[in-house]
Amino acid sequence: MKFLNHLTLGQYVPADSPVHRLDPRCKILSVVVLLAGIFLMVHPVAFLAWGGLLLVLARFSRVPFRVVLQGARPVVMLVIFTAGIHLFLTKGVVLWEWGPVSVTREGVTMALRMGLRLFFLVLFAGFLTLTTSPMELSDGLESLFRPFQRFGFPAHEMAMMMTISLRFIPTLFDETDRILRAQLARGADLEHGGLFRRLKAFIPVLVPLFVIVFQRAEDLALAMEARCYQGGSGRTRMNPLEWKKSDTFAIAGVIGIVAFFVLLDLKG
Amino acid sequence: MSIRVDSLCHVYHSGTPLETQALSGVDLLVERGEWVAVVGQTGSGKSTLAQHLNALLLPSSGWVKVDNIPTTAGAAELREIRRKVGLVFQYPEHQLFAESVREEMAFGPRNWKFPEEEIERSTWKALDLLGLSQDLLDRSPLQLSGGQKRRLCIASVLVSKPDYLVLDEPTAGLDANRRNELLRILKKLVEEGLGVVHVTHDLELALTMADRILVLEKGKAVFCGTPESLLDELLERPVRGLCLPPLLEFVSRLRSYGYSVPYTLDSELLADCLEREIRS
Repeated sequence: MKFLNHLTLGQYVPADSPVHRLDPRCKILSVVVLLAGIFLMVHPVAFLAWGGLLLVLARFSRVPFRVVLQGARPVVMLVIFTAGIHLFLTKGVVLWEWGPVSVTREGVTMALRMGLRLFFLVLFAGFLTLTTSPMELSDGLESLFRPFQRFGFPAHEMAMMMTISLRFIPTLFDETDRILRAQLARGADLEHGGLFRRLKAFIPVLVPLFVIVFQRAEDLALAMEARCYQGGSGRTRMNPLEWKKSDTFAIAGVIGIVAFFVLLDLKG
Repeated sequence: MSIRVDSLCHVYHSGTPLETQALSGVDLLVERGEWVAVVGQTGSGKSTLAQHLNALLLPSSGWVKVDNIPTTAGAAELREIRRKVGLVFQYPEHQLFAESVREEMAFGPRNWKFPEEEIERSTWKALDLLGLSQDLLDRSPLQLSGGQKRRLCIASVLVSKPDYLVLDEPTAGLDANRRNELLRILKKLVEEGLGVVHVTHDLELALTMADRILVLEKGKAVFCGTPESLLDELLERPVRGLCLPPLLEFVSRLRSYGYSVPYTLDSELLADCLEREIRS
């Protein structure tokens, strides 16, 4: 029995598809455009078109559609909650009433709009992490943020921090698993009692975890120093990012489609 | 009164592409007052077996019984099994958490609802047994030296008065003096009636200390018996995954040159015999 199942957090699905091969910068910018487009949507019906786009994208990237939908699982509760709030608290033409609770026509529209918007935001954003490895992603971000270095923004350091933290998530899960076992062996009871007791029961797990994290951080810093790591200046790459023609086409296509959707939506 | 393991199998990540058979059909009997060594290479399933003995892992098939209670019994029995079978993991960093040694020691007994005065008495006894001074009681466990931390971990399990003690590589990272000291303490505990399961990759240690040895290879038990019979076995034909300790290799070479010296891990005895052989 594994006490902690590894969380599927922005899981990368390796495949050789046109979407996977795109430059990470192109994908990051495309996602920004897509998300902006989703925010501009007004009519719930318009999301049918976005759903279609999602299907096409899944097809192109050779990521199983089931996996794409799984990405939205963590926010299902949030979507339902948001939709519910809008459904019951929007004033307007009353459709249905029961005591103090009423549902209005505007409420239904708002609930659908907000719920779908949130849902599609997560799904499209998920595409980025599904088709881009964490390494590529941080390389892409670093490259995009490099112009801001002039104003003192530590682009390289941010990217390095991101890579390291992503790299250590699975390691820390393993460590937590080991600590849990060691404490369970000494009779720790993590499953019974009220919320407060259960939180308190986690102290013997959290303290060693923090100690280990700091220890690891120091070890890593030492190992990096030993190999003369100096930060970003003058550092070359093994796989330099390369903006290809296909990237230009892809981003132009995305902008075109999103603009088309938005215009269609504005006209009603 | 014993731990019985019967045709135990364990499969990790069952039903996924990562599925691995960690243990297949292992039998083992551990009596109180007996030192059993589990020997094998990394990945042979030693640690998996160790965690089955106190119900941290449950069998995929087969069973483990502690004093006739199967580890698959209900939650109340499970807690009792975990008290009876103390398990000490290899790395102290994975368990030391309290602000003082006193609190660290009280963690286990409090979980099992020992009365406070008994916890205190038991703490003194366990610390004393492992050669940790009472002055350490108010120190932070994190300030202790590596060897002290290791001994504190063992003490913090012994304080709950287990009937069996399972140790995963207890001597790894200890210097020779500390190692011998720890082995001496364990020997004493066995004589007092504790059942010890010693998981190690060090065959020489197992041959010199254990009453019985289980050799695991890729999750299968390839040998189970006394150190003497394992030695005979090793000399006749190689047991998979094990090679002779250097001293025995040396004896074997000497015998092939015609010296009649006994197979022993006692270097002094060997030197005496060798001297007699050369003189005569």
